[in-house]
Amino acid sequence: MIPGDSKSKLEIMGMAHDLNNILATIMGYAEMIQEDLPDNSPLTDNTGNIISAVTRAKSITNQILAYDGIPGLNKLPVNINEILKETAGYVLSILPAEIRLDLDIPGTPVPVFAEPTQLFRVFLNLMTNGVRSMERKGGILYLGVRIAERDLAKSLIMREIYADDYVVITFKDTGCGMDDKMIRKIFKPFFTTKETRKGTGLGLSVVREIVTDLAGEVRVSSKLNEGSVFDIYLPVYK
Amino acid sequence: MSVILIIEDDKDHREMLKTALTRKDHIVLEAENGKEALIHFKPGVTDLVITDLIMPEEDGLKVIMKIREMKNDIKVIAISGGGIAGPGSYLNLAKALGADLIFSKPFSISDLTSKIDDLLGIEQSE
Repeated sequence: MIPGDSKSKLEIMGMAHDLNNILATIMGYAEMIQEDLPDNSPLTDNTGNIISAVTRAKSITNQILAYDGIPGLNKLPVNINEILKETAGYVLSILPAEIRLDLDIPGTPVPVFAEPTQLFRVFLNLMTNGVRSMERKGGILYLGVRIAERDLAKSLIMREIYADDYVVITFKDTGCGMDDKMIRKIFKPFFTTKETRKGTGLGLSVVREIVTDLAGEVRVSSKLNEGSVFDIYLPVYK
Repeated sequence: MSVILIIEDDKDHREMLKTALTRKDHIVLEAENGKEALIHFKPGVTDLVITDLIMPEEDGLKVIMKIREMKNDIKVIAISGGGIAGPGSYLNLAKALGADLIFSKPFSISDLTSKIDDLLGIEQSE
């Protein structure tokens, strides 16, 4: 394997995944044996040691799999509209009746140089955030795609512009919204407005990490009790 | 006693889960991938679905979505050996798509069976 080669990294991750399957089988049977042992059996320590060893092995496979979080392993030109439609399809399946999804996605392909899974994660995160913000009163989640030419993009985003065109993907909800204080915090890791069980508080920080890696930018505007707008700017690939 | 459908492409792990759940008096149905599960899924019979996520044919995320379409209130547990490192990991996506619980392999089987009892409202003996 060539060090740093992305295919090799993926193969290693696949092996870690397969190893976790084997560890899970070992752990399950060890626990069942432990359950069947009579009280004070000398074998209890042995099965306990198997379970401890499996737990240690899991911490190693998880370190390997953690590299999945690094954006950019498999970037390629992808039609952003297709990924948006696919993500919208997933979200539609969990959409409560009182929330409507409005899509404004053009038929013309918009290529972006990115890893499809990472884009899926960004879009799913922003859509589920929008849906959750409207859980109490219902509303409309708008998802739109438009093109901003170089000069327009320059006036809209902070980072250096290098592409001729930028695609702007807008996620707009009519949910609970945020005040300025909250907006300043949302991209910080572990910040969450949700109850603990519903989220890790890592979602938007990772969204920004991925978008930044793609030479793009996330812009957000919001009004308390009125809703939020997240605009994702990404360079169009030519 | 409940009817539990296990969707898992790793035969050894599927067998282990079947053994563990049968010991707890559950009736276990098996499918080795998402496609097979969707063909044989019986909404009126199945109480809970345990699905792996990274599988050939139909992946676990699509299975969760389609099973929920067939039976909205079914309990779903997603399991994966793909780790839970990122918020966008398969397990977290499964949670976002409506899985009731997620387990990162390897996990404690007694924890799983106890959580199944909780989900199905079964009183635990002891």
